[in-house]
Amino acid sequence: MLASSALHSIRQTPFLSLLIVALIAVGIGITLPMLTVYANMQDDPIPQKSASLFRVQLDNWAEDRPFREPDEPPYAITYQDARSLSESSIPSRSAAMYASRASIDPDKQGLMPFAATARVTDREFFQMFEVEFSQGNAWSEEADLNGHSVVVLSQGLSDVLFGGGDAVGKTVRIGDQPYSIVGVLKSWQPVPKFYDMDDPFAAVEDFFIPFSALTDHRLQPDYWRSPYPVDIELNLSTFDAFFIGSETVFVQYWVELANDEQRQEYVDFLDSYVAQQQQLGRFPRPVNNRLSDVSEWIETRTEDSDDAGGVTALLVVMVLFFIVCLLNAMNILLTKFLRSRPRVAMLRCLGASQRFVFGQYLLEVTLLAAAGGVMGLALATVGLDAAKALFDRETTQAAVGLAADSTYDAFWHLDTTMIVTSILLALVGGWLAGIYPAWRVCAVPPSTEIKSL
Amino acid sequence: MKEFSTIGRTLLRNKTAVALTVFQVALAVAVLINSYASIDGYREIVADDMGIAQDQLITVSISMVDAPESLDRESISSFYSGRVLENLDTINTTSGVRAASLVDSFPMSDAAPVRRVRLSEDDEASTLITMYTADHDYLKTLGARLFSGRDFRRDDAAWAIDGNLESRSPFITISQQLADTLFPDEEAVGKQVYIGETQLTISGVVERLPGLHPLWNNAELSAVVPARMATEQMRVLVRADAASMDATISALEERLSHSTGTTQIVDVRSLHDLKRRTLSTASSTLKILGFVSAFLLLVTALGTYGQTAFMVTKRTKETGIKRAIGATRGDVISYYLVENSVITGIGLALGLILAYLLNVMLVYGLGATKIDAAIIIPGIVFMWILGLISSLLPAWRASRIAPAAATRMA
Repeated sequence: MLASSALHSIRQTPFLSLLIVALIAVGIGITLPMLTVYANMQDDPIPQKSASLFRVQLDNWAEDRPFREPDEPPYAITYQDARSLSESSIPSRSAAMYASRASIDPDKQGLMPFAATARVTDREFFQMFEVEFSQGNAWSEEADLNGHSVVVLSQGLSDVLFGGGDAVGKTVRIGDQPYSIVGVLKSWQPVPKFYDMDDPFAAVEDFFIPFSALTDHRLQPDYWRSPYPVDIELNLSTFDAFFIGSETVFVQYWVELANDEQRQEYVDFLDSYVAQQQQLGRFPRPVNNRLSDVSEWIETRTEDSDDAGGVTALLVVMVLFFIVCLLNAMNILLTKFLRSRPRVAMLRCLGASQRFVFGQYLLEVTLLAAAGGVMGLALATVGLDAAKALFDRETTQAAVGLAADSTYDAFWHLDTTMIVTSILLALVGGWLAGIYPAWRVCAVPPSTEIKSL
Repeated sequence: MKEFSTIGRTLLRNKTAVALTVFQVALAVAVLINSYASIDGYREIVADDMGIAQDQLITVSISMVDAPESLDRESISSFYSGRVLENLDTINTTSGVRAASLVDSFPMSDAAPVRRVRLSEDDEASTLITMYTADHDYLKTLGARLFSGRDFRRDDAAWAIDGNLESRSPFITISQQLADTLFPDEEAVGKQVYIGETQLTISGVVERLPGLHPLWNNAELSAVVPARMATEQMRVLVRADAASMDATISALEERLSHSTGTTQIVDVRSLHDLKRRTLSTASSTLKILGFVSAFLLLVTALGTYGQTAFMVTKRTKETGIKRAIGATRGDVISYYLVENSVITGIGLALGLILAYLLNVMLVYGLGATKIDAAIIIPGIVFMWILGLISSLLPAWRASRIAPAAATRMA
């Protein structure tokens, strides 16, 4: 009864009804893509372990000013601290790492040498972050200790070099060194790239090599900062002085701590390590160690990212847009409902309760809003492609003419959460816009209206 | 004006409907003015050539893979300078190349050294600039015009393996804008400045010199110091004939990849390409903003239309009476148009405040353009006209209401 009455009301004013659907659809279609990007930026890419993985920060910054206001320690740690921390047996796993780049000289017809991105790290990286291999495995502990020239390739780079065939056991020239391939990863693209976060949307590196490449092959870190004005200039002859014995921070250090006990033990360990270093004249600032789990780390780094500023600004504009759409829909609903005053008066005189009338109009709004939500979802998929362009990064695969990793694209599709969000957004929006007009129309006194018929 | 008091009372009686439209107009005008300012500002920046021959410039990056055996300064320098000269020779003999300059980084590439300039060694105040290192052919290649002083000479540009200024010729060429910032109303040529602890003499001032990012506030506070870089990353700025850019780019790519016996990674692209890549995030952000704005205009127009239509429907009887007691059709139309203008006007006034608030946020978040009267006034006039046009159809319909309609309704 309620439903047929509501449908009848929709049919009575087809143009206005369609307009309301279109308004809600456009509002959703435009707001949702940015909302998706915003939500994904803060997403937890490794939920099963996010509470047991910790990024380590130590504050070795200059006495007179913090790394970043108000009192943030630097994002990375020094080489000497990374080496000392790796001595600790408290964490179940740990890995030092940094991002770099190097040239790859393919031994393949028709392929020119090209630049590729590198992650210089320890073997426990792979187990710690649960990275799966399609061929081979991580390098041995012995390779970590003695600095063997071994490499793990990404699926993408392996495809470029070996066309999907066997890679393990073969050799690839990186820089001017031959490296023997011990493993190939399955395609893997956490978004945001939580273990680094210098660029949350960057592609995972093309290859992984042992940390000793820093000292053996002088692979320069992409990111480094120094607490003091640097009095030496960086070139090949000053490389060691610049990165090895200095206060220059560039090592990203992750540990895996199984439980709160271990965590507490590690916190104490860090405190006593810094205290001991202070005795030796390092760490001029008060002890300010941080141990951030994955979501805390992502939050720390998105706060100050360029992308976050842009996305937030766009998001605000789009939310304003959605509000304008709703105000508009409300206006049209007022018109639409008030036009049906005679019909309401008639219904009321025939015995319909005020609640029935209110319910009927609310149902009508719900139906229109739901339709708008579904249409908005369709529009949003188009809008998401546009939003994707915002964060398009030039990948190595693209540079040598290969399709990008499919896991990366998955990020740019709407998932169930967003579908539910869009329908909810449409319904809540519809109700916000519809309750007042519905209330107005059912409050109409039947006697005055019926007189004017 | 008797009309206004009538309108005032009408609006008060329809508070909700009026408030809805007012807020719509306010939000819309706030977003639209800001979007327009940002898009306009961006267009201007992209079109600006910053005083250089940007249509004729090609950037060449060469990464040398093999490293010198020994790591003392001399070995590094002689190892790389040999390769650099070989490559430069290849570039200069490629057809279509008119000039080439060895540099440490490219203009507008978003990757160039940023340094602080001071007027004395212990000066508290400093100016943040983009500082390029380049050989003596730089200005000629770039197409930048020397305003005063002299260009670098061949012997100013000694070989260097890093950014250290100590051992180089103590000269610096600065942009006119930087000269005005450092020495307002004074001749800058011959003056001393400090970068770090190194004292440099200003040897020349160029009219304009683009910095590392076109959207940076200090985009034209730039300088060049002379040196020839001998490092594993070799960068050359090439000036070519505008007509044969593509051919020159592929010729350079082809010849450089095969010229030396050693492995090197070669990346050749036009400066336009590089600039586009630097601006890609900003440009897609603005595209999205433009798209949203277009929809917003449509929705707002629709809203104003709906609002007037609502008022007209509600007052069919009243309009009929007016017509019956002598109001002309023109009177009815102008009444509704004036009423609409009042509503839009309130919305616009409110929108102005919102526009400023939003602008503060956008400037912070997006580096958007600041809004001023030159954008606000046309924006307001535009929105007002849009309001009038949207309410024209319902107002005209109201004027067709027969006077008899009044009598038919009790």
